[in-house]
Amino acid sequence: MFALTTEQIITFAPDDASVKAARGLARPGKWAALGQNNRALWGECKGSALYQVCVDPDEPAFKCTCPSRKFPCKHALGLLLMASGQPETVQPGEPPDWLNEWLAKREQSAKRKAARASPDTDLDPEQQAKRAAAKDKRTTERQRKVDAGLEELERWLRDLARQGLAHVQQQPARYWDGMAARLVDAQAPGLARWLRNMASIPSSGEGWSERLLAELGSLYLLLEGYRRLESLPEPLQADIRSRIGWNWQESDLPADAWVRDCWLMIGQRSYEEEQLRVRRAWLWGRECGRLALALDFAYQNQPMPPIAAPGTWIEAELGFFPSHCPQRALLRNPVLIEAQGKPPALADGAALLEAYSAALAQQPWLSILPAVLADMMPVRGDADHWWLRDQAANRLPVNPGFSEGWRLLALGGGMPLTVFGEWNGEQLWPLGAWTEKRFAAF
Amino acid sequence: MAWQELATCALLGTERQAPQLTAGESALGDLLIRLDGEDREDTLLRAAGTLALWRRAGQKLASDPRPLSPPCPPDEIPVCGARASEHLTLMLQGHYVELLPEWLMLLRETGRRVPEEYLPALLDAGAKQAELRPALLPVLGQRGRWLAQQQTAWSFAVEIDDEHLWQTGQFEERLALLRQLRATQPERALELLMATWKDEPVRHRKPFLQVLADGLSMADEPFLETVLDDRNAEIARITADLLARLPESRLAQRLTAQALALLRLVPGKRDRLDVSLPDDDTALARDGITGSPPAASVKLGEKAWRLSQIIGAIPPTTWQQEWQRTPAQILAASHDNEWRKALLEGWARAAERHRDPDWAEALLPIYSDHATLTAALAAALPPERLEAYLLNLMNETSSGGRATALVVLSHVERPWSVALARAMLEQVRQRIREDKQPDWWLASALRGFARWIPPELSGEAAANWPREAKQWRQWEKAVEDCLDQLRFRRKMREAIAE
Repeated sequence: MFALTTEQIITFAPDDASVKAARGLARPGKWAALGQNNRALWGECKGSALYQVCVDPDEPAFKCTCPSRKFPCKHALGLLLMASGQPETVQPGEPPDWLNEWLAKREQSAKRKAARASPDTDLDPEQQAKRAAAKDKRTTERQRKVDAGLEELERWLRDLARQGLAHVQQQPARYWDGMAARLVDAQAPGLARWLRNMASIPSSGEGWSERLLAELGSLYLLLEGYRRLESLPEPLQADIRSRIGWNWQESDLPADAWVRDCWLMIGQRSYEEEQLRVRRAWLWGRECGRLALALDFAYQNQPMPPIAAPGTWIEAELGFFPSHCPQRALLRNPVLIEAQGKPPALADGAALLEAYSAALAQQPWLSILPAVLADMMPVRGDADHWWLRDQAANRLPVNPGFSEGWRLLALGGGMPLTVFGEWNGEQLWPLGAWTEKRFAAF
Repeated sequence: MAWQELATCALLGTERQAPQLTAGESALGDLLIRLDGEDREDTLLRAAGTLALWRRAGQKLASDPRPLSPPCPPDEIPVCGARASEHLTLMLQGHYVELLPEWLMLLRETGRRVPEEYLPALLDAGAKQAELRPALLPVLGQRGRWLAQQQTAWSFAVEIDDEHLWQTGQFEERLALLRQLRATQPERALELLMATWKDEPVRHRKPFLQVLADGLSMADEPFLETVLDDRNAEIARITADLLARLPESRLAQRLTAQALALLRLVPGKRDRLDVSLPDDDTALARDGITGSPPAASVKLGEKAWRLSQIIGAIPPTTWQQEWQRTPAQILAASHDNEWRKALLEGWARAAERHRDPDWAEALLPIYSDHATLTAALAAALPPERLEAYLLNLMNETSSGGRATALVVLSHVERPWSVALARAMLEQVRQRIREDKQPDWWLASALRGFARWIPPELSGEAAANWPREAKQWRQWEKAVEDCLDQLRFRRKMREAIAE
């Protein structure tokens, strides 16, 4: 049955105006033929005309006959708000015909999708061979494009090194954008993103040339690693390919990549990156002891798929992407559960740095190490710079993008906290914290 | 160091300088030597990648030499539950934000406090909106006050028990100290202020003086009488206003004598008033009676304005005692008077200033279209009396009285009884049934009404709306907004009790 909170529903909305309009619609007088079953909610909304609205809250999927270009539209959001605010008005019932059509259509497309993704054993040998051949062809084609793109990138890097960073600093934005765009064409989106991030370094103030040199060197090492890919251990090969931009589909993951466990959602954060909204959600497995990152993306106006709130537990299978330092994982069949537990924590900042250098030795291009840290005291420096001070009185700088230093301080009240966060090699981005009594997310 | 040299080389470019890799004794040195080759760009970039990784892996943390500030004392009061916190989150995101004061008050009644991580957002809200503070301060707990000490913008929430701050503190701290002291030991607060008054800059005098309004008594009178001579006109005006609230003050005595000389009741079949206007007078000016109206909205001549101010300053009971008439009778006697406007303005100010319910009730129907005055007059009535007055109006047969009741209600910020809420809802339904165009003020007032209707009426309030009426579409949004708020208030109350 329906269990979304008002807060969760609000996160689906494309903008504030939609929430406001939807609240205006979440009223009994606006609706006819309201109902729900285990797959969907539906109703007819009286707007300028009578609109047929239905929502599958799990996915979530929305459908409305209104002409709005916003997605989900205010009617779909209104239906959800109605169901969470006044559940008595949305009773279980038999779905109307138009809803059954929608459900049937969705079921078909889901089947088609599953067929594409499913292992090939269900198909007859001829189809199987055809499909494998097509896949091979696609892979070879991409391989060729990536090879060419990386060759060009290497030439570009060498030119850059010859002309010098001082020369680069005077280049317009298209100097970086042009190369990045060519990498996108070469199907190496990971490298394109890396390059675009680098583009801001020359204007980032003192020490820029050293920061830029470090990134360029790291990128160059990656290219060198790619050239000798075959000679590297398999997990590192996977890391290099991931960094370039190869993605893993559920069907690509080997069976032993999947870990079934009780997972605690210990932190989430969302941000925008090149027209996309990105959500990072970190989970800790109680039995396996691993930290996993579930990434979700949504285009500007599309809703993020719902996910368990920070501090809650799910039982689920997580499929880890192959890596020397596995982090990213796909989430399968999650079920909310009640459970207890708290991840073990690193003792202090020195232990974090040690863990970080050990991880770098495994995976030199590692950008972020997730870590649970014990006995951290939030401290405010000048001008709202924050750091966490460990028991040895060492400072872990807090990422300047993190805007909730005061909340962290309020939670601790001058006593040390156990903090979970993302360490990027220089700064920590806190995502969750435990007091003696409870957990709070940031 | 190798890295610095490499960085210099990279800045200039390999076409100008070849990378020099210095060999060391270490394993890193050995590795770098192996990278050194003929191909300058390759050497530079490979060495950069290697050294950058080495530096990244070898980071050290800076240590923090500063002593830690003392932790917050423990708080025995429990925090509110998860569902109540969820409501708070919604309000802090800007939904149903007008219900935040009520939520905070409920929290206090249930003996809970705000979960710690919400404190910064609430302190920010309190810093921006002073009207939120009375509800906010009691639920901040130890943690909130501890936190407030660390951010100057939050000083309103700091509990100050150190009187030395009056000599040494920042202005905000001193103001907070004076307020807190005034609430518990009003005379001590006065003593502090008197001791430093001479040296306070004008911009501080004003807020300090306003603190005295709280707990004002005859003990403050001698000091205030001297401040009447302050060279700053604004300070003198505030002081005169404070003294006027004390009927036994010398200022009030002087003005009462003036007023009695200016107004005379001529008894008769129909009483009438004989009014003389006051002349310009430095003594009057000292008592805060000014020559020209401060706002263009007061359309009175100079002399009439002085008369209005004198009447407005003194206790309105003066007239009942002097003339043995009720306020309604006195208002009736003023009916044909040439200076009636000045008289009414004066009495309204006096009723407001001295919170006189008899005069307020008599004046309310006259000023029902004047928003701020209506609110002020209604506030002068005790709750039961205001209710009785409004219910009485709503039962009138004339639609004028019923409309007046709704207008007055839209300016009264206090919870209603069930009976009053029912009567009001029925009034609105009736207006819709009569196919009245939505009165713009009532449509917007309806949303505000949701804050004062008892939330247990939420179910009943949603029923019986004339949804078939021709004008319903025009009213619908306002009505549904009101009901939506009311539902949220009910849920909010249920959650906070959990």
